[in-house]
Amino acid sequence: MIEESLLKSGILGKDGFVWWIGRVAKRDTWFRENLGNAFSGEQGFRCKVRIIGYHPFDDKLKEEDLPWAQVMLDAASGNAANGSTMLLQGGETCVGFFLDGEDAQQPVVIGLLHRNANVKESVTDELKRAEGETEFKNAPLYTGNKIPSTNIPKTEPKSLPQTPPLPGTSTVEGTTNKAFCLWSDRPSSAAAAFEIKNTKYVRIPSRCSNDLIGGIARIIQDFIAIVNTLEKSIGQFIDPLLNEIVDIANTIKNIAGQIGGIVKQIINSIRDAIIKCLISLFKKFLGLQKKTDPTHSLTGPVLQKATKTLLQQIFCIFEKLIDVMIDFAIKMLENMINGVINPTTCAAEQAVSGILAKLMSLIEEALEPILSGVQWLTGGLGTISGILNQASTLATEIYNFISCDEIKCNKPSEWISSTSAALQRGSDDWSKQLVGVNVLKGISKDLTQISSGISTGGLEGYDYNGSNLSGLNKIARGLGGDLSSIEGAIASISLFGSNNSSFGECNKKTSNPQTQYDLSPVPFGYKYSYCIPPIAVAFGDGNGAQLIPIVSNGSIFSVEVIAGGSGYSSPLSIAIIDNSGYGQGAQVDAIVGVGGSITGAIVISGGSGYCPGNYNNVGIDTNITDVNTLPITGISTSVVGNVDSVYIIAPGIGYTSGDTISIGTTTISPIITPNGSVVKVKLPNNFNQSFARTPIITINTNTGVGAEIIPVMKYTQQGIFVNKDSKSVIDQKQVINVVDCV
Amino acid sequence: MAIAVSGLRYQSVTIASLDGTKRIDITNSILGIDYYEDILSPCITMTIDLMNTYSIFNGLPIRGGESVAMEIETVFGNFRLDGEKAMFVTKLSGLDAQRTNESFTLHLTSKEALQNETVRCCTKYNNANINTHVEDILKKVLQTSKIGQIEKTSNTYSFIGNNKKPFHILTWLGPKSISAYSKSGNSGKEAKGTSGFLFYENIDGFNFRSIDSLVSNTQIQNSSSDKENIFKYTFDGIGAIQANDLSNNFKILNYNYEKNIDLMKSLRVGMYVNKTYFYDMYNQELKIYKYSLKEELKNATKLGANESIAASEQFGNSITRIMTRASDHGILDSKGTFAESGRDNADMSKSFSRYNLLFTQALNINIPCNVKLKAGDIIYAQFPQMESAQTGEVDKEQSGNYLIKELRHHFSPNEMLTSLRLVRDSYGLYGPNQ
Repeated sequence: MIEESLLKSGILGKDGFVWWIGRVAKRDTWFRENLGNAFSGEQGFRCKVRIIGYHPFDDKLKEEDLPWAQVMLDAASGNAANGSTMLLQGGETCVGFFLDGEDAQQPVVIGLLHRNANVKESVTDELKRAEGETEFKNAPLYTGNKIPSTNIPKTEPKSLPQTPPLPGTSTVEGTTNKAFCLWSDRPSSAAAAFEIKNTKYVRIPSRCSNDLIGGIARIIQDFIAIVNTLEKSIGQFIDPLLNEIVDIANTIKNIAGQIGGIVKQIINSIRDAIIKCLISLFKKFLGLQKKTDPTHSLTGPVLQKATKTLLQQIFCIFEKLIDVMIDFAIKMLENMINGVINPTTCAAEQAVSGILAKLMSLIEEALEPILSGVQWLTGGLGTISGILNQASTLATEIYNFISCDEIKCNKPSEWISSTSAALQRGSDDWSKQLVGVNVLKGISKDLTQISSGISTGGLEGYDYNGSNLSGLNKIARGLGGDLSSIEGAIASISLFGSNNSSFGECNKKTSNPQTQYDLSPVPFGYKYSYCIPPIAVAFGDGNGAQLIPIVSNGSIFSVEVIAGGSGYSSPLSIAIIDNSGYGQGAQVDAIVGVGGSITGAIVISGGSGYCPGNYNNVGIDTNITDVNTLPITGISTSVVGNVDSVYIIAPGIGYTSGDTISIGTTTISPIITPNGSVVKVKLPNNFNQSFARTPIITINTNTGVGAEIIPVMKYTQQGIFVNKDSKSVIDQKQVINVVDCV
Repeated sequence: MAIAVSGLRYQSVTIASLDGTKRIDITNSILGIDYYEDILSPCITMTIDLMNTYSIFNGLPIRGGESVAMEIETVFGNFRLDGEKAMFVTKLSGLDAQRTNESFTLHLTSKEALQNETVRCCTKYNNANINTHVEDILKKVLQTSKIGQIEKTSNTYSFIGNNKKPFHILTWLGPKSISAYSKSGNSGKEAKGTSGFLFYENIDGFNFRSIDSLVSNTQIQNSSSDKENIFKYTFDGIGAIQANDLSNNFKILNYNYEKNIDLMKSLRVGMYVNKTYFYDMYNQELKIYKYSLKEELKNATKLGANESIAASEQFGNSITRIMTRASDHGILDSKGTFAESGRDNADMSKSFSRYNLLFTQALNINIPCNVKLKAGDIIYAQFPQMESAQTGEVDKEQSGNYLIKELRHHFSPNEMLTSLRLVRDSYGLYGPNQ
């Protein structure tokens, strides 16, 4: 044994990777301690584990004696998930390794194994008897939060005291095991293959988890976009692309579950903030009691117990909220099915504001009785009650709690582009959401007053800021409330098509999108009712770049750099975004110059199906600050431009000094290395030939193979062609040579 | 021939059946007995070669687990293995029953070695001195009362048994233990002190002792190993010795060096100087500790007189091994705090160095049987210096105190010998305390 240890390297990781399968210990042996550590800024990603083969599955090693395991984070958890919440509940089957190898004292959890409702026991009764053990089985999962999509058997938690259900609450039954995937199930196999080849899906959550709003908004957008592609007939929804009937009720449940998952994070953040505040106040209160009350030895423990019970009740109430919110989300989605066709970002954000407004309302309703008692007890909790009575203040508190230093946070990026790059979303704008919540609160107040004023007779004929009150009332009832409740205000958002002037700008974008930013992406394989010219966006470390894609005959001809920006690093991809679903397949790389400024764009593949915009300003007005302001006046077919430079994708081998390159009618001698690779092509000074489409470059050789060279095009504004060498203006009619060298 | 070599007299050697209903005296069937102790082995072992004309194998029968008790009379006193110390059959080999007799070899070990295979350390061992854990495991898990010397450790440790066998845990705790009689810890970027314990069984019972105490002649040791009681053996040359001269009982009959110098190994294991990169998992900081055995043993006890551990300063001062470790903050704290388990940050550095140093020199000697000797004792061995192919003065480099690493008593009608594998950590006639 000693001799064996002497033969070891003594280097972490070199003396064997000892991995294991284990079970996360019962929640009540570690959860609160871990949460307490998280609250106080300590490591909050730990749990206790019972490891098969190392820790007996009987009472020889008590659950509380099990070792703490660090829970490993993935690389996407930037900033080491500082500030995030671990979601382990106890009872999960996990896989991990020992940091100290065969010593086996320092476990680390790598991940979890999926468990479904059919899993009851991990070993047979026969084996248990052979082992002489009676409890060698999986502990029941803690299911207090009841997230339906994980399909967990429904049992009530035993470790926490139960409180009566909130008025109007209900639970969502478990769903099938089949995961619902909005995008991947849609296209045909051929279309899917194309999509896989040409689409990048990237999701990089923010380090600060501040993409919660974006997450819900995206789910709602996806849902509406998908539903709008379905055909409704005799109460059934049919997917025409896949030729199948869609189980819309189940779909809604799944989507609501996804929303519920994100709302749960928000709820937990609010709960933690409130509990943190309560604990702080109680500490002060108890400290004060000790100083002033000579009988504190009698009252102290009682008060502490009362504090503990109160906190447990608050935990319980917040756990119930998630069910209510999922139920609300289901109703909301059901009412959106027949709504607008274009779920714009602003409209989706209104929906998120509606969800948050409903959440605030529920929290106020649930906590008010308890906190009133707390205020009586301590005489010092006016601040909490005050917070809860003002949604905006509460929301600000939430924002302060959730948000972190913007400089330290990366921006969440996610999703799609036809090719090349991921779209980058801005960090969640909670301030904007809070404004939205307040707007809805204001609308709710107005509607309540109006509703009480119309105590007799129906609502027909009345309107509020352009919204028909009867219609609003109908949607509000569908959401589970009435005109006088927060649901009445939520019914007025753009996605329900109420045309409320409070949301006039967004209503306009939703009903008549003009730019890609107004349009929510349509599912793959579908097209919006009209084509909108694409936009080009560069992602990466830098910012400030303004790019305009030039479309010729449906293909990206060039990408004009209006402003190079700064701080970009190479290699850098440029995404060509067409949310209307007409264009696809373009692939563009950026040329990054000194200081990280984009100096040019290489169109690797022009794609097809894109519709051009009006490029009258391109190349002339360099003071454009917002590419969105460029006018779009229709389709132009007379795009022309010059070859600005050539880009060598692959240098090849075997080329000799006599080999030439043909671009249009011009022949050029490239620079070739002694090994026969093409490393540079210098355009002649007088090379000003114009092209109406991207020319193909031909390499004239008898020996070389493998070189791949493409031209980098520079758009020349129609009718005012500028000879880049002489700076003279030439007539458009001079553009006569269109050369395709195949 | 010395008396100790030839004076064998079996008082009794008996074997009992598994159910305890039969007990057979096998004294007359014994061809020879070999008894083994080793400070790197957690249990003692024994083999008995037997030949008999009646079938013990099937008659008793022997199927494994039978107990063997014996008492053998020797010059140095009776050698008794009975009662708690009785040995148990683990294996039978070489069975030959083709002729009118049967012969075989019985392999035996102590009861605890069998118990070790049937029990496991399952529980959490809460923060306490490691010697407390050792005693706890010996008494509660192995259920033995054969406690020899359990030396006190200065450090505490908390761990989980992980379903490991007791002997594994008891040996595994060795490198993590620091003697209460030596300093330890860290001073800035230097790891200080020594560490390393050995768990082994000898005729006195189970022992958990630090290397430092084993090689010292301080009060830590029991009476048989105190300085004045150290047996002194001399080698005068190979040849016959007179039986009637009692001093001949302390002659080295023959010897050979198993190893003396292994510089490459010493460098590779980082025996002289090494470095530990210690990653603090809680604070996410990297701490680096350099450890120089020479510095730490400067005033400590060694078996030899020479101060220098390494023959060359070039080797003795260079860092030749790097180890890495990660802290175990909060692994076993039931309240969820981030206290460490009690391990020394550089315990591997210290113990690996100390273990290797101890086994720098290994010497095998045969002496007349002395049942007073046991593994873990120190003896003095004296060798003559070779001068022009003749023996002369005492070799002051090679002679001196040695630690008994392994011991074998061989009992047979014609020859009773004790074979010893001796180790020591330095050269020179006496240690610094002599």
